[in-house]
Amino acid sequence: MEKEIAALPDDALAGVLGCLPARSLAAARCVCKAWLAVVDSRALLLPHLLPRSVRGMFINYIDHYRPHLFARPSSAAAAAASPCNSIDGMLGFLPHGRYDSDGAGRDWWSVVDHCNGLVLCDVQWGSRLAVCNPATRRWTLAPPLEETIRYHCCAYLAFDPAVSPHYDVLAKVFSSRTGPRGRWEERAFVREGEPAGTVEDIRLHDEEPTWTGPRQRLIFKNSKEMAIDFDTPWFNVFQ
Amino acid sequence: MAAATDDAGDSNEMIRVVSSDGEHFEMPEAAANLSLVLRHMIEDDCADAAGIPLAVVAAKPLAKIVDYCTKHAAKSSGLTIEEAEELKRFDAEFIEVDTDMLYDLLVAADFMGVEGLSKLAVQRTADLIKGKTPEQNRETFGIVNDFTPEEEEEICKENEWAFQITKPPSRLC
Repeated sequence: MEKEIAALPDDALAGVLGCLPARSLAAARCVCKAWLAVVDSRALLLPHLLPRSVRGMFINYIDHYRPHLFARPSSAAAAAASPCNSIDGMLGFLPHGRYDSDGAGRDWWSVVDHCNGLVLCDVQWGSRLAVCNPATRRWTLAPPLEETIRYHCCAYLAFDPAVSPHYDVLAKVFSSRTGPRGRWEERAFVREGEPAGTVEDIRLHDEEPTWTGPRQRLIFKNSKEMAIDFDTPWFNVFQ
Repeated sequence: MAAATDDAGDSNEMIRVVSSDGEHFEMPEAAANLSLVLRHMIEDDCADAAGIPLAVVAAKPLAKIVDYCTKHAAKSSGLTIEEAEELKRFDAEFIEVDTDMLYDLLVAADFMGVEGLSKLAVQRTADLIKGKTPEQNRETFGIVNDFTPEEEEEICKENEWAFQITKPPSRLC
């Protein structure tokens, strides 16, 4: 019986496959079930597929409460070959007025935050938050918070697909006594160590407060462990 | 001064190891120290005349590992550029082995904790896989395709871009 490299312990095989460039790794994934399992269970391919460049930008207007996505249009041929090549910047996949009993719809909405391809929007005149993936057209509505807050200046999205497929929505609460509501969970964050230098330079908004209020900076080390520049370290978290 | 003499004496001492199939090998202590497992055994005074038994390493790969460690221990510190080049050439020739031996070296180097050899064997294996189609890889490593044709088609479709000449997608679908 010939010895197989596939018979290597998973750790050793992962070490070998981890040395491969993206294309070879993707081909190795198709060799047999054992290789497929190692590549997929350890998400070896994921870091190769993450966006490395700015694909486009959402612009929120002051006098028109419906943002636009400005991005280089993808070619019709590419869009036909693979539907995920076309990003729906208008979030047309959100069912109009059907996702809530009051039928308020998404007539007016804005982009509150974004993180690694996911977009956090406030819908229903700013009363609800929705997490959307404009590429896969999947979306989730976060449960309502009891306290009426202006989401656009206090909600943040944390998502790092290289670390975890789960995202967090953080909504700043003005009183730490609010407590958990629905599936929101109250959590305190403290900065751990120094913030990552390269990310710290990213400024989400102008330092001057705007009509939507000043936004502060979140500095992520990864999706589960984060350092935050906030005076109030209390958040409601929706996962 | 006495300590220096002792050190010199130690490094000349030969360490005996025994393969899983009962063959005996000898190498200088400095060479054995490149293996984490052997080093700990030596530190714990387990290296005696009977030799250190290595239950999962057969004679063939063990002979290669003894070679590797002896060569690298002799040239461990203060390398000139020429010596470094020579060591690189030695490594390149050393790892030109068939896939059976490569498998044995991967497992044995990992078991014995020989870091340099582990890296060398891992890189060599990756180089063999690199740039090949799944079918070529199965041939190289004698792997049985355990996918059904439908599964294989499905999985290959997920990574279609890997088999095209174009660039990989710049984002996750």
